[in-house]
Amino acid sequence: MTVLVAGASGFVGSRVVAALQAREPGSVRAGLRRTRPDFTRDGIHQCVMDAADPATLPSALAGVTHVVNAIMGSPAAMVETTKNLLEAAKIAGVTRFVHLSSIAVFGGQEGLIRDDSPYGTDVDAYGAAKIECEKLVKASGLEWVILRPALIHGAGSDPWTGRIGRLLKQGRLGDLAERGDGLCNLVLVEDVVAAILAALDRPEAAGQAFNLADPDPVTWNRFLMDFAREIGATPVHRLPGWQWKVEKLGAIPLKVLAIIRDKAKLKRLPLPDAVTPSFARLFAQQVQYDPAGVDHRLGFSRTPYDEGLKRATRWFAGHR
Amino acid sequence: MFEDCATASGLGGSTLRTTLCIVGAGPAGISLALQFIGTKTDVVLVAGGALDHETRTQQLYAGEVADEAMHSPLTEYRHRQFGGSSATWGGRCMPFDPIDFEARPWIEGARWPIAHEDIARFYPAASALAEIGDPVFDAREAIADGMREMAKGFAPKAFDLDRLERFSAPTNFGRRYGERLRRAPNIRVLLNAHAVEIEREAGSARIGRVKLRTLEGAEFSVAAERFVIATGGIETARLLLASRKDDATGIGNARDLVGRNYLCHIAGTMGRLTFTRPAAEIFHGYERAWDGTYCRRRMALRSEVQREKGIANIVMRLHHPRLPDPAHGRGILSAIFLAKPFISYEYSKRLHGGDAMSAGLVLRHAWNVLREPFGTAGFLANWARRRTLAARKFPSLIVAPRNNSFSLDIHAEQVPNPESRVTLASARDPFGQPQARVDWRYRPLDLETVRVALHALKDELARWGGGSLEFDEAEIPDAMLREGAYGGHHIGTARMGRSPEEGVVDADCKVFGTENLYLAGSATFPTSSQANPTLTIVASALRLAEHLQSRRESPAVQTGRAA
Repeated sequence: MTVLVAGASGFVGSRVVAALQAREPGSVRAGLRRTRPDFTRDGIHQCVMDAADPATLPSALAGVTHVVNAIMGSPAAMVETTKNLLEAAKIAGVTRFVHLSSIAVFGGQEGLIRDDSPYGTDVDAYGAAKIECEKLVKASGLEWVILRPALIHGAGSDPWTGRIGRLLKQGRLGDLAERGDGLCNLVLVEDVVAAILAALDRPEAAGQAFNLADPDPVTWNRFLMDFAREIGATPVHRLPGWQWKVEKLGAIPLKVLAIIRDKAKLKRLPLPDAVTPSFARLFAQQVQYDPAGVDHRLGFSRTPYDEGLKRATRWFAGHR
Repeated sequence: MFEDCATASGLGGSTLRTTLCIVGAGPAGISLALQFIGTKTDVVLVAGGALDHETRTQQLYAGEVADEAMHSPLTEYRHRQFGGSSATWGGRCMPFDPIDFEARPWIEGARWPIAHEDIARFYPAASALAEIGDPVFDAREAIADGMREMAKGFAPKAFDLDRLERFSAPTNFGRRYGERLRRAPNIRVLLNAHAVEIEREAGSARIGRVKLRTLEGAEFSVAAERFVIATGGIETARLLLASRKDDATGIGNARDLVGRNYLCHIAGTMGRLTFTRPAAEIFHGYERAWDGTYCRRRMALRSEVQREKGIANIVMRLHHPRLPDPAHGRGILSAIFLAKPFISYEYSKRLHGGDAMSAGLVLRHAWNVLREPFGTAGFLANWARRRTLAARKFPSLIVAPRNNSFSLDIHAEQVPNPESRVTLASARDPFGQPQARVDWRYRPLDLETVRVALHALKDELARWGGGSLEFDEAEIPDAMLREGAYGGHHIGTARMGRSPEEGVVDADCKVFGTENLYLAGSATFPTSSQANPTLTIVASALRLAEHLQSRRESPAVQTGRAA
């Protein structure tokens, strides 16, 4: 097995590369736009490529049997890179294409969602792009596996470990009372990597999409309280109603500032985290993902909840 | 699913059929209904009010009080709305003690048919619902680095200073859990539906239906396999007594027990506890557990002492000096005294006592405020931040006295008394049903408990040497009864017993003489404990839920047996 990980410098991609290299040195090629010193140091085979530029793909794919598509980007870029990668993979004779999608394809649906549940009708631009990509993958003629991680937390996750931890420390999240009764569909980054490895290996996974989430999720309140306790954001703050209104108002200028910052190419400029209305709604969303398909066909060992909390805490504590 | 019966059409004359009908949507009814989410049992939860307070509905609580000096009007201290009186409670929670469940020969009628453990095993789940954090009520375990001592070095034998009270947000059960019920497909919440009568199936021990009315004039009913009445200590008695179609004296009242043993608590502030140790060694405030819960120590009279002295259960707290007496010299206490017109009836009654405001008194209090303007302003700013603007509210006024001299806030068990009663009044409500009449009575032992406990504390302080307690025994009746029955805790009117001679309901909370009528809430408690009742109300509702789920009666079998 020779695996090309596209998007190898990303949050998930880089961890998949490391896991594959640890499992079988030399079996992985890191597909990235610029080489990374840590990969070079670890003796990882790096292929400089840009999936937005089809001309760079054939050499990266030469001799490759499996592809992991872990490229992140704007909605348009994700669709374009997926399309290019699929075409090049077909020509190169790739035998399995593992595509990283997202539960965002289900939008704001509630209740029990199965691996074959229909796409949401209220999805945002990100979710719509992910649906588009899935359709391309399914129609590619390649043997495919689609993985849809829930919210990925743990070491390296800024949105779901860094941001949540910061907001807890600032007293902007905490005990959300009735606004936090939704189910907390987090998945630890190590588990996503384990699922990707299983998706590369397991014959019975072919032609399937899998939702990756905690099979027995706690409520957001429970998670936020537990995480706050671990990181020392105590006594945990209980959010009054007026605070949500302030956040809602504050989210607008923060969004404007973020757009200006990005336009001015000042990505490094730190901005406060925003608690946008859609972010706030998430905590009340009653959705659960049926783990049967994952357990049956992908079967990897999941990290227990408490251990996941500890790892997230360790990373959060080390990164502040 | 929620349905507002005030605006629904086509209800008149209809019969809703369900498996379990819960009448009353306060902490008991809501906690019970929540346990059926995701089960196959269809539930109708009847709320005798709207989502919020409405004066017209609240007036349905109007009734008679035998002695207005001894009991607050029946429209106060309870809220007739979805969420019930949790819309107004202070949030103070602590478990009942093992001794509360024991037979105490020196207290007539103090006997439960169940043990402390039967209720205590539900305290963790009840604590979660009441949002009081971890179910830990011991000061040595509640807070990671330990809690501050009440008085450094004071370790009385007669009192346990490590017992805690923990405070709910205070959680309004309606707001907090309404959404969960709304989402549950098997639960139907009827708003503005007022239960007026419980009816048996002709000539049988089975209850067939509960008759409901709306203020708009609709009359309909719920037929169910099983019924739970969870309308609080006063309304539960009224509903049973008023259900006289098949039972001349009311359902469950064959032995004239319904409405008797109406218990509240014996409470008040008195005495003067002066510490001679430095003020820094005395602490009477709150500390917060990791989950944000406010916790506070109390002085709980140990059960050995209660047994030895033959008295009831009691706790005491260090308290700021009495507000109405301007001699306390604290600007903030005077400011609160002067703010009386802006404080709700329930709190004002506790804070201000019965004292009338005279011009001279106003001036002396105003002088206190003017004397320490920064202290008063700082306190108010802090109060605004930690209480008014906070979702988890700072529970009560904590003001350290100028001279290390505190009063004692006393909360004691009221012992059972069959002469303390809820009965039916002659006046009727808009549905033609008799209003409730409350004749609250206490016994000499109730005051004796306070007297003995005060002496015990006085002796302990003297032995320790770090402080002293002064009080006037003659002051006890006035201090404890200044406000009459301690408002809001309505207990015992349909008590649990081992037999129909001893109680209205059995150990499973089923009404004797019926096959399918259950009661939930403090009406079923045979004793009142020193504890505020809400946590135990929720715990006992969870216990009832477990019982109801452990066996589903099959109507066919029941009918067969009846025949």
